[in-house]
Amino acid sequence: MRGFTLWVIGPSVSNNESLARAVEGDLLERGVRVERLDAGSIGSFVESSQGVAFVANLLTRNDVVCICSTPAPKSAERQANRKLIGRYVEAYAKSSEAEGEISFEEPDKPEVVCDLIQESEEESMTQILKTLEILGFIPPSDFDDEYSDEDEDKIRQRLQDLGYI
Amino acid sequence: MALFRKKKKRAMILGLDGVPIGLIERLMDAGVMPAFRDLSQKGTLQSMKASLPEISAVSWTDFMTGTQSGEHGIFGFTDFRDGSYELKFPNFSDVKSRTLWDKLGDQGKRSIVVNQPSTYPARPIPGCLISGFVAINIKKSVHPLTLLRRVVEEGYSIDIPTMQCRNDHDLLMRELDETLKGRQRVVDWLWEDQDWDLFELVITGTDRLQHFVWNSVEDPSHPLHQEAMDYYANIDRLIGQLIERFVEGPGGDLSRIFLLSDHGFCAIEQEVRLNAWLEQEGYLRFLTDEPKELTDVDPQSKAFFLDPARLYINRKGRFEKGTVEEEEAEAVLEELTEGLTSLDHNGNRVVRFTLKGMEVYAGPHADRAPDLILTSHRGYDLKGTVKEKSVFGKTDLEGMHSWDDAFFWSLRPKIEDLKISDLSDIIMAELV
Repeated sequence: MRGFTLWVIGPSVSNNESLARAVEGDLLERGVRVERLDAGSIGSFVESSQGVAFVANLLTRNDVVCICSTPAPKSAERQANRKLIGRYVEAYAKSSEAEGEISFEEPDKPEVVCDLIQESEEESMTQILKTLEILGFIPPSDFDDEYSDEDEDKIRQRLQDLGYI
Repeated sequence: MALFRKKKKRAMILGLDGVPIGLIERLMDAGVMPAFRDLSQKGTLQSMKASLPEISAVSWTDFMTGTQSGEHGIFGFTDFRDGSYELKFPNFSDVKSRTLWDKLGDQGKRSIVVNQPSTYPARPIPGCLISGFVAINIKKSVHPLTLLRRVVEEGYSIDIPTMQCRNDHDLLMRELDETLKGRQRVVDWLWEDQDWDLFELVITGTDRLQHFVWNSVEDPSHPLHQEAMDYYANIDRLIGQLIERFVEGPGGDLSRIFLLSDHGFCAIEQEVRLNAWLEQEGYLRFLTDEPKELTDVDPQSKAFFLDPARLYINRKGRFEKGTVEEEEAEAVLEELTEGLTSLDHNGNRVVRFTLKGMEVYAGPHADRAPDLILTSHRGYDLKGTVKEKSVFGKTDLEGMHSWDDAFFWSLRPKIEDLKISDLSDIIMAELV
C-alpha cells in the first residue's frame, strides 16, 4: 500500500489530536503502517507546520501513512504542505472550542469536513475512513459475506471436482 | 528494565490436509520425510479422530473453534436452507463459535493464518488471515486488505485449478509444485514483516493429490510415483525450514510446535450412492426421472441423504413439504439404520457404524443436525448424489477421506482418544 498524509486541522488542537488518534487506531487494526505526528511527539522538536510537513513527506514517500494533528492554522501554509507532500488529505474538524492565541483560517477545499459540534468523534472517524476508502488511499473494509449466484456456481463446481458433492 | 521483561512465547501450527498417519509413517521409513522423522524421534506422532462427518469443512471448523457442529453450526460443505430442500453453502460467517485466533486476541496475541480452509470470506481476526478452501476470490480471502497487493504479487494461488487437474495429472503435479512455492513466498514475507505470536500454515495440495491420484502415492510402479514422492519431500523440506527458523527465532520452542491433519485418507474401492439405495428400498422418490438436486424430491419421500453420509428424515416440522409425522419418524429411522448397517458389497459390510445426530452433537445448533450419520469401512466412499441410479460404482477419483487416522504431532505425551476439536485448548494452554 502506498503512503499518504492525513492532516487533521481545526480550531481545537486537542479535538484534532483525539480524532487523529481514533483514525490511527482503526488503521492499525486494518494492518496499515501508521505514524502519528502530534504536538506531544514531533511538536517537541519541530515548531513550524512546514517542519512537520517535511517529516510527513519523508514518511509518505516511504509508504508510511502519516497522520498529523499539529497546528496548521494558516491557509497558505497548508497549501504549501499539500504541494510538498502530494498524497495529502485534509480533514477539517469543525469545533466550537478554539484554543490559545491561534487564529485559525478556514480551509477552502478540505477532502472531508467533520462537524464535531453535531457529530460524535466516532461518526467523524468513520467519515474520514470512508473518504480515504473512496479516494483509494486505503482498501475498502466492507465485509461482504453473502455468496452471489456466480460464487455459488464456482463453489459447487469446486466441490464437484473433488467429489464432495 | 529489559532484563525483567517476560520472554514472548510464540507458537507454530502446520497443517497437512488429509494426510493419514500411516502415510506419514511410510514416507518417513522410505526416507522421503527426514524432517518429520526427526520430529517423530523427539516428540509424539499419534493418530487422531477427525470430525463426523470426516470432511474438511467440519473438521477444520472443529479445530479452529475447539467445538463441534452443535456449537459451531457447520455440518458439511452443504446444508439445507431453513425448511427447504434447497442447498446452501455455509461460509465463515456461519461459524457461530469464536476461533482460536479470536481467543488469543483477547490475550493481546496476534495470529498469522495462511490457507486455513473454512474461513472464506476472510473476516477480521486479531492478526492476518488468508482463507483456504473453498475460497474462490482472492480479494475476499485476505485480511487485512492491505496485504492483498503483495499476496498477489508473490504469485499466491488459493488452490490448484481442480477441474483441469482432475483430468490432467501432469498439470496437477506442476500446479501443486507452483502453489506450494507461492505459499512459501507469502509465509517467508509475513514471517518477517508482521508481528505475531501464532503462525499457522495449512497445505491443502496433499488432499488434492490424494483425491486425484492416490495410487501414485501408494504404488511404486505408478508413472507419477516419483513426482508424488518429490511433492511430499518438498513439503517435508518446508516443514524442516520453518521448524528451524521458529526454534532459532525469538520466543520459539519445540514445545510450541504442532502438526496435524484434518482427516485420514485411503483408496476408493467403491462409491456407495446412498440416495440410490433409499430409492431402491422405497424410501425416496423424485418428481422427475433425472433429478439434479434434492429440490426434485417427491414430498412423499421418507428420507434422503446429503453428502457425504448425512441422513435426514423428511419430517413434517422440519421441511416445509415434509410428510413424516414425529411419531413415525423414530420407526423410519430404526428401519433405515438396520437396513444401512447390513448393506453389503460382495460380502463385505459397507457401513462401519451409525450415530444419531443428537448423540454426536450438542449445543444451540444441534437441532439442525442430520438424523443419522454413517461412517464407512475403508474403501467405501459414501455419497449423497441424487444423479446416480446404481448403488455401487466408481469414478476417476482414486482417494477418499477416512475418520480415525488423521495425525497429530507435538512434544506432549500421547493423548488417548484424541479428537481434532481437542487441539484448540491444547495449543491455547501452551501459548497463554
